[in-house]
Amino acid sequence: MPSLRDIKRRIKSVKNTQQITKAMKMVSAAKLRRAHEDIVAARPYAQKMLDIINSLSSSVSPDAHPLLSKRGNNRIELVILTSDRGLCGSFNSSIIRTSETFLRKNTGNAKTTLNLVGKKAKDYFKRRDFTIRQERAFGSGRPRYANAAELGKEIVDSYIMETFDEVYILYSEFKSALNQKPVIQKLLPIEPPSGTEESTTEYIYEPFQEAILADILPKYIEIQIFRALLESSASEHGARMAAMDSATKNAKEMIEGLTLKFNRLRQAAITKELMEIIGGAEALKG
Amino acid sequence: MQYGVGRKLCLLFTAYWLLLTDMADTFLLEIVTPDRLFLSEQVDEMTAPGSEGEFGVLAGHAPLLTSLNSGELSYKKGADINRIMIGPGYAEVGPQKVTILTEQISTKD
Repeated sequence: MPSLRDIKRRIKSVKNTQQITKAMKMVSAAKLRRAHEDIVAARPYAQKMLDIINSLSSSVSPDAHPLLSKRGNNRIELVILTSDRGLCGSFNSSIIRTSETFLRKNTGNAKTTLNLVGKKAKDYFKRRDFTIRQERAFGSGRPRYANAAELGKEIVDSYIMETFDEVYILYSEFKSALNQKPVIQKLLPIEPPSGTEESTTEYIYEPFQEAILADILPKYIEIQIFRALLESSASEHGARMAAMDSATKNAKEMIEGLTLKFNRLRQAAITKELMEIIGGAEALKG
Repeated sequence: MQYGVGRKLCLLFTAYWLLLTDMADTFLLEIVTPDRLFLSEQVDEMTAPGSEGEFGVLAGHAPLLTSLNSGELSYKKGADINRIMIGPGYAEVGPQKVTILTEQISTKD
């Protein structure tokens, strides 16, 4: 049986935790808004890039560049984006679960290497039997294009040196603040757009088409990675906001329960004291 | 009689020409970076550092797709001339619209 003072202490500690989760929720909400703005702001660049590549690749043969051509082997590299920080609900665990499924499906016929972003992925995979080719810790914080560019450049270089034959990226797609879904997307080789409609405008290319294509394809990979980073960041904040919201609610319920218990106990103590006094008085009378 | 028709036709052509030139007077210049849409404005002319040499664009330019070196990009809007420094990138030029894609931008003061 906890004493009155114990319960009081419990209530206080739960209240403190509630304050923290409340603050974290509000911080996440603000960060989520910014992350969402970043996603929207990155859209025109990505879209324009895609337009240019579409108009280029429709007039260039798929063997024109190593990033476009398929290779026979199937050594796969999987890029996994997680966060650096925890307390974001099932954000990281659902990513890792998806990666496990993917790896189980693919390690049968090929050796898969991992390229990890974020501390959480590293913490999980380093204790297991996987080939981690690279790991970086910029999972949290505002994604910067320079980070994406560095990662993209490394992947493209290794791909051209035939370290692996296919690259997939796994990240959390931002659907809404309460809904994030892990998705796996193929990065390399770049698949030519499905609709092979000829672009209506005939461009003058400077320098020639192949040179622009060779120049722009690595950039395309970078922007894809950047987009994935942005989505992942927004998802993380969304997940954390939801997790902290339910934590705050739980704390509130807990405080209510404890307060009820506290009041009951106090009432019981008062009643007991009264009984003792009355009992004493009765004894004196007699 | 014949003189009248000729004059009318001439006037019509002039009006049509004025309409055309007026429409094609400015074009939309858009400068985008991975972070944001930096600029979207109607401008009169633009000069950009193409990889094969600096080039100028007026409204009605033939479609052109070129890579850009880092350097100074300037555009004229009315009487104002604005200059910005851009990093390596690409330019897509059309008759009514020019899109500049670059990773870095800094405004010169």
